Amino acid sequence: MEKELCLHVQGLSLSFGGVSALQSIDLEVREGELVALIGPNGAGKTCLLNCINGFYKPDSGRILYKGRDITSLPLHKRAHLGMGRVFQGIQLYRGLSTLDNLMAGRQKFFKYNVLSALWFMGRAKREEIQQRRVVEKIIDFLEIEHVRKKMVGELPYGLRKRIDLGRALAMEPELLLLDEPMAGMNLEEKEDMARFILDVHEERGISMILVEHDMGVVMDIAQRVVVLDFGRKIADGTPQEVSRDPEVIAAYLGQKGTQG
Amino acid sequence: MGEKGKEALTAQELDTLPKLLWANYRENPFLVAMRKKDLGIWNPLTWEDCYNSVKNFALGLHLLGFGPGERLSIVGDNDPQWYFAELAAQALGGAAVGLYIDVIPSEVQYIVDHSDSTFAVAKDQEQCDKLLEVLEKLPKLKKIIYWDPKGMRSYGSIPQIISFEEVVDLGSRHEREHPGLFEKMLAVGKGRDTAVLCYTSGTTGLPKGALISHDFLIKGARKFALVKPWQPTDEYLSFVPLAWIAEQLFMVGWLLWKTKVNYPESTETIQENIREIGPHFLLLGPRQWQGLVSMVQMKMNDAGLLRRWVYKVSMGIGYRVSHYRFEKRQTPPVFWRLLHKLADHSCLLHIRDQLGLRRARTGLTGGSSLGPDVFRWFQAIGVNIGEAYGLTEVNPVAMHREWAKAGTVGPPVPGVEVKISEEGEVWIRSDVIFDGYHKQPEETAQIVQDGWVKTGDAGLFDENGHLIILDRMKDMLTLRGGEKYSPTYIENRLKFSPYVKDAMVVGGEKRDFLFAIINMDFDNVGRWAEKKGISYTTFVDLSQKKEVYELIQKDVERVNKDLPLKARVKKFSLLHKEFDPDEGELTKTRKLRRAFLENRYKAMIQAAYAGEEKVVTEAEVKYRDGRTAAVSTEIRIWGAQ
Repeated sequence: MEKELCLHVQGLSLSFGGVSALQSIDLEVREGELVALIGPNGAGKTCLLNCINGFYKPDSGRILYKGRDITSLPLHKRAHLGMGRVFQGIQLYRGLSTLDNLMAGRQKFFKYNVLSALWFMGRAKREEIQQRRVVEKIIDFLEIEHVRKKMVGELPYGLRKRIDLGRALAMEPELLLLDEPMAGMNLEEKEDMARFILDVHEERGISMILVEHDMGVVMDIAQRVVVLDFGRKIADGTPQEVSRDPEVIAAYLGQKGTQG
Repeated sequence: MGEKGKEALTAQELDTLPKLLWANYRENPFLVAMRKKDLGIWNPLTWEDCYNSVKNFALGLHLLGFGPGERLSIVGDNDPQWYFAELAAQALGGAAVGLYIDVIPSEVQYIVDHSDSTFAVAKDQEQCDKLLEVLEKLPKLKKIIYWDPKGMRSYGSIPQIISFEEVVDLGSRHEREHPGLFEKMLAVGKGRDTAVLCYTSGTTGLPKGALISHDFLIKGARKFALVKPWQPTDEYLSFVPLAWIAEQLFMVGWLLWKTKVNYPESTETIQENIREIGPHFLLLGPRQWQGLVSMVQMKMNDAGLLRRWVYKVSMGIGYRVSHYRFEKRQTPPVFWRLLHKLADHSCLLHIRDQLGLRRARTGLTGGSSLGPDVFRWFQAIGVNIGEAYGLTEVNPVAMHREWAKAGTVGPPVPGVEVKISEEGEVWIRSDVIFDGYHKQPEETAQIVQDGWVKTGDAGLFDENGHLIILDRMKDMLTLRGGEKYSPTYIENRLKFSPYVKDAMVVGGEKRDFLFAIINMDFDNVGRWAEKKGISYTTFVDLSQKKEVYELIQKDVERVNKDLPLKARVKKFSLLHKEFDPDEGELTKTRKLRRAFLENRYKAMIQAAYAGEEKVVTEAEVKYRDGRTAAVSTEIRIWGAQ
């Protein structure tokens, strides 16, 4: 049985001046699906993610999230709808601890007012405890107990990436956009991260769009692969199908003798 | 609990571990017995919680078909569930088999199969995977029980897999239908029953499973307490593997003296967790103690000028006072005691606090030897650490009291007889030893003869009655006179000196005495020389100074003091360079390549045994640009007593 659509991008186009970054892109992500988005440098992968979570406003086309048109919805409202993102560069508060960074990710769940925060009584206390429990579960899940109280700025890159994933998870997203979560990692860190992404996907059933350069990782963990090249979608299918697609091979390896 | 069960047990002696648990629960059910840090919070477990978990898990096992005499293998990090599983197996008349967490699947297969385990308890996905990989080769194994559900979601379809909680649920339902059943089963157990199988990593051949009885563990813990008493208010951090006999003894201490056991959050958070708990008792490996010292020293190097100064002065006072207390065995003069108070409050106390050792009464290490610098450093900050010596076959054997003499493992514990055999092997007699190796009677007969346990360790007693463990018997060498010696032991003792970086001891059956080739520690000897106003130019120059030879002579003679007269280092030379792995003198892990070295320094060795005082060596020097040149150096051959 086909699952329901989580995200539906229809005919999305975007250009910067004369440069056309995205040309009428269609993309479907079903509930609980892990879709990888690949393509050579400058193919428009990050651009597409930026349109989906609202950094960029597309020139034309629509973005439907759970059946609702969110094309013109501002960024923070999309976050409230359950869209999380792990950025290519790490977006954490360097001066805060791991714990505080994750707690900041819970921001949308806090409802108490300044007054009760001042006395830390009643609702404020209750909510803090409740949210801390959720955050602690994420810490346990990602095995970052040992850096719980460490300042994020002091931590090594691989760990910070993991915390960034934790921050995104703290928002309890239903759709998670992962922009090169394994960039710059060594093999062991990559394996760890791949395992965490798979665990998140399996245990929490979160739909994901994963942008990644490491083809090994993509072929291993993605259920479906979408390939972009110069702002166009050139392939869409299972990892096996895509890896056999001549157009994809050409885009990655260059075409033979056509330029003549 | 059923009334019948109560009566059945009160009449019994508390001779098994589960019975001790039962007694503690009866005595004070609401007292906190354990803590486990989970989701950032130390969660307390009372004796009632522990007892109910063990009871329900045991009944669950019983329902699944675990019977008396069967074995339960356990693999995973130290957690309450680990020990609960052990106690549950024992309550049913079975025994637990502990596995180290870093075992590989083939070892898992061997141990689970050899011990005839019918059930296995594994912490998480990682450990379950090891068992599943070899499951086909384990026909006796009925179930695999896991206690950490993370990543286990997709394992539901495997019929052998069941969660710890499910087993507990099964058991608690059974308990409601059959109250008192557990207590009845509990009462059947006897002290002579096997409680655990400890598999020793055989350096030769396959691991051997030592059968350890309840008696062994309870009497062993009591012997331990004669030297280092436990108190009910004590906190303990359970961290060294439960598959190791030492940790098993400590857990019996928990049952006997109702201390509080704390299980750390994860292996990476140990340091933090020690600080949060402030344990009274701590058992760590030598490397971990060493790690604590390095950590403080490193942080002090980065500290500001004032702090560094306070640290330096306070540590100086600490060293001085501990020198009086431990080496001179006398109360320090009033002046030093007052200064020490000041130093303690301004610095030493805070170091202890930062390390989480503020309440530490006993720090212990085992396995291998701890350097004297580490001992002295901890004594200076006011933490008394010591070494303990024991085997899987008989434990404890020897332990430091209040005074820890580096290089020894302390005097034998009361009730244990230690004898050095004619060949120099350590033999041990105790009222309770292990019950042999599982299914290996020949190996057992080799180790236990006429009531003595032959350890295979070479050792001797020093003048204070402290036992010194030299080496494994098979690594001992003989001199022409028949005297045995351990080159590694002597070399390690020489390296205890800050002025000695490396050493090689030469001897063997064709020679009458030992000769040592020593690498001095250039930094430390250089600093010493500057202080003494001795001028020098290069390594070669410094190494051949008369004063330096006199300095090292003291170290050699200090080591000689603990050696038998005929197996002493009578002569030594300071090499004009350091042993170098690039020249093939050391392995990549910095172990000596003896044969190569003996050949390379043949001339020097021959000269030493010929009674000469100097020898000229041709050393090849490699320049940066790749050219080589021969430099001849005159090296002294120095005598020592």
